[in-house]
Formats: sequence, structure tokens, C-alpha cells
Amino acid sequence: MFKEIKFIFKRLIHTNLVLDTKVKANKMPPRLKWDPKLEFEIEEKFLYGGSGAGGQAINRTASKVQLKHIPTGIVVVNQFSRSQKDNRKKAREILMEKIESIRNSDGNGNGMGMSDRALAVYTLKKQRKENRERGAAKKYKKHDSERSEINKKKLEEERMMILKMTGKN
Amino acid sequence: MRISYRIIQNSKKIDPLLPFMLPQCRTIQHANQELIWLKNHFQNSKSKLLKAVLQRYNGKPLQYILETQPFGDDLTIKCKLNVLIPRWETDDICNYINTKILKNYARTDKKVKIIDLCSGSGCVSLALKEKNPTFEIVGVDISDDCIQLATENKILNHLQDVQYIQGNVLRPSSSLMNVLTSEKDAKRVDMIVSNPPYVLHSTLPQLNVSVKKYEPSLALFGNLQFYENFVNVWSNHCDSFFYELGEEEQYLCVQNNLDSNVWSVFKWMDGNDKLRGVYGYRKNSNISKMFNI
Repeated sequence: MFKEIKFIFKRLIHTNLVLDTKVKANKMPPRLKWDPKLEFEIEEKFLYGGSGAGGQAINRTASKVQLKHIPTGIVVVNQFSRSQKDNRKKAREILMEKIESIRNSDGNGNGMGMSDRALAVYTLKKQRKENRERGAAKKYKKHDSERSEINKKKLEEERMMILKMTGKN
Repeated sequence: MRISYRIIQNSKKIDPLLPFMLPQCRTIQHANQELIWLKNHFQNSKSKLLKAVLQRYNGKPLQYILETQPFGDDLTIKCKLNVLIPRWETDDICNYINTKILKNYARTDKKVKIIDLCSGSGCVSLALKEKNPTFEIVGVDISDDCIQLATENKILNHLQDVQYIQGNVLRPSSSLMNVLTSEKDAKRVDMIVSNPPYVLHSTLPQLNVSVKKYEPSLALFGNLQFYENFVNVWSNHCDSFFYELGEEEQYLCVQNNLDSNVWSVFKWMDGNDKLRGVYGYRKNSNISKMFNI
């Protein structure tokens, strides 16, 4: 009985999946490419917003692109650049990532709710952080041992001084 | 309309420069976006960035501060004072002409000639040239600054064989007419594209400061004169045309005055579902087949 409870607790605590595979920075999965077949499944809109005369009367600086993926109903809006061409490209990348994340969730694909590329980037970051922490721990261990040695020496010296002065330990 | 005190306070927390962008941008999101573009452009010197932010606060258009505007497929159009900044509607029109009309016309082996009236920064002519490198394109504008900037833009985008001529569109001299319509059997060019000034002078009080104060009034205000001029003068020298416009009245001016036996005239709506252009063709011309597809 007790063992079972312990087992459950262990399972509950480790909710994060442990990633066994190591990722190397020079061997990453390829970036997601926009699938030209998806072009027929999306609705593209250019939002310029606002009422009024338009045309020469208003000088707009931003151009917004909205993509809607009809089968899943995902909507993506992007306006990071001044150029409409860049915005359209970037919006497609974001939409592709979202579609891929749906394909990889609920036990399908890698089961992490991320595309392979995004997962690799995520694990790489995690690995680097762990490595950094490990390195830092090693460094402080070294410092601590040095410091304790110095302290020991000091104590020894003090003891010797007291011994000289009083003749007693 | 005044900007609410809360928005100013919130924007101050994000970036101390952000409140200065608000009068032109109105929302924090848009202001943030513009500030990022400015920061990217003036990465090296902070004093220049501060100056630029103050200029934007006073209403100077962002394109004049950054000196460029992306246009068409892969063009960067330089922007300077005294020349109108290209608008997105014009971009859409160029895209429409390229993809719907000229795409198949380029395959015919005869030489195609297009005239761009009121060329301004040269954006329309360059966008057409970019997609159709074999076409012969000529731009006409009255302002010397525009001609100079358009030639600069042509060199900047590595395009050749686009000619810019200084001349009055409303009262074309005979020498200009000869240059534009020579080398043709019937003395007609294939297409006339134009973005004439069409904002009504009565709307001046409602205009934004950045347009009212900084952009050239010569390129903004006009009503029917360019459309009447097209019917009387230029329609005799072309097979098809595309004019940008802003008012219903201007469309009717073209549609009613052209002979309906010879010409077919249509409306063009922009992305916001507003009347933004008028186009048409001669029914017996070669290019007319391209419009039916």
C-alpha cells in the first residue's frame, strides 16, 4: 500500500517529459517550409484598418496581413515589417508552425505539441542552460574547496600561536 | 481627438520614447512598431534617433524620415520632400495590372509601350518594368524633383530602359506628343497608367497633419481636370488605360464622356471596398482580349 502511494507521487512530480535525445547545433531538423498545396486552404486578407477617405488623403505606414486556415480555423495576423511581401512570408511561417504543432499533439508525431524544429530549438536551449549550471556548480565547488583549505590553514596558525603564547593547547 | 492619459502613462512604462509616437500612431501597438523600425534604422547614433522621434512627433511622415518605402514585389522607393509617398492602393493597382492584364500580353512578340502620366517617384512605372522587362515604359511628370528622384529610383533598383520626361500633362507640347507616340503605326500606345492628384480641395481641413503639412499639394489636390484631359487628349493616343481616383464623380466623368461604341469602361475597387480606379479598353484593339480573361 505504502509503496503504491509513493509510486503515484513519483509519477505526479515528474509530469515534465524527460527528453532522452540530445540535440546538436550542427545537426538540427530543417526549418519548416511553406507547403504550396496549403495555398488553396487559406484565406488571405490585407487589413489597412480605419474608415475615411483613403487613397492619397491618408498615408499609412504599416501593412497588416491576416491568414485564416479554413479546415482548422487558425487565424494569424502579422505586421512586423513595412514591406507587405515580408509580412506575407512571415505570416505563412507562423501559420505553418501552428498547423505542425496540431499534427504533433495528442500522441501523434513527436507528441510534444511542437514541430520537430521548434522542439529541437527548445531542447537545445534547455541543454545549454543545464550545461551552464553544471559548469557554474563545478567552478564554485573548486572555489569552495580552495577557500576551506585557506580557512584550515588559518585555524592551524591560530592554534599554533595560542600554543606558543600559553603553552597549552 | 485627444489621447487618453492612461494610454500615455502605459506607454511610458514600456519605453520613455513611446509617448512621442502616439499623436501620429494613436495606438500603443502601432507606435511600438514604428519605434522599432526607427531604432533599427538609427542603430548607431542615439542623437539621430531622438531627432527622428521628435520629427515624427511633429507629424513628419515616417517614409520621409527613413527615406524609403517598400513597393511592389521587391522594390525600394526612395522618398524625398516635394514628392508624393507611394500608397498601398497604388501598390494593389500595379499588382492587378501585372497579374490580370499584362501577364499574358507579354507573350505577344510585338513591342509594347506604356506611358505613366504623373509618375511622381516612379513607383508605378518601376513596378510594371520589374515584372515585364521587355516593355518600353515612359514616365511623364511636371515637377523637376520628381523626374530626378524617379531616375535615382531606377538606378537604385537596377532597372534599365525606363525613360522619364518633364512635361505638362494637362497641356502637352507637340514635341512631347511626338516623343510619346512615335514608332507606332496608328500612333497609339498600348496602355496609359496614371495616378493623378484627386483629393478634393474641400477636404483639406480633415486631412492629417503629416499629409497636409509635409506632402506636396501639387500632387494631392485636383478634381476633374485630369479626367477631362484624358477624355479630350490622351484617349486618342491609347488602346487601354488605368486611372486611380477617389470620387464617384471622377469615374462618371470618364464613363459618360467616352464613346460607348468604341470603349468599354469598368470600376476598380480596392481592398477596403472603396471605388479607387477606372480602367477600360478599345473594343477592337489587341489588348482588349486580355481584359476578358
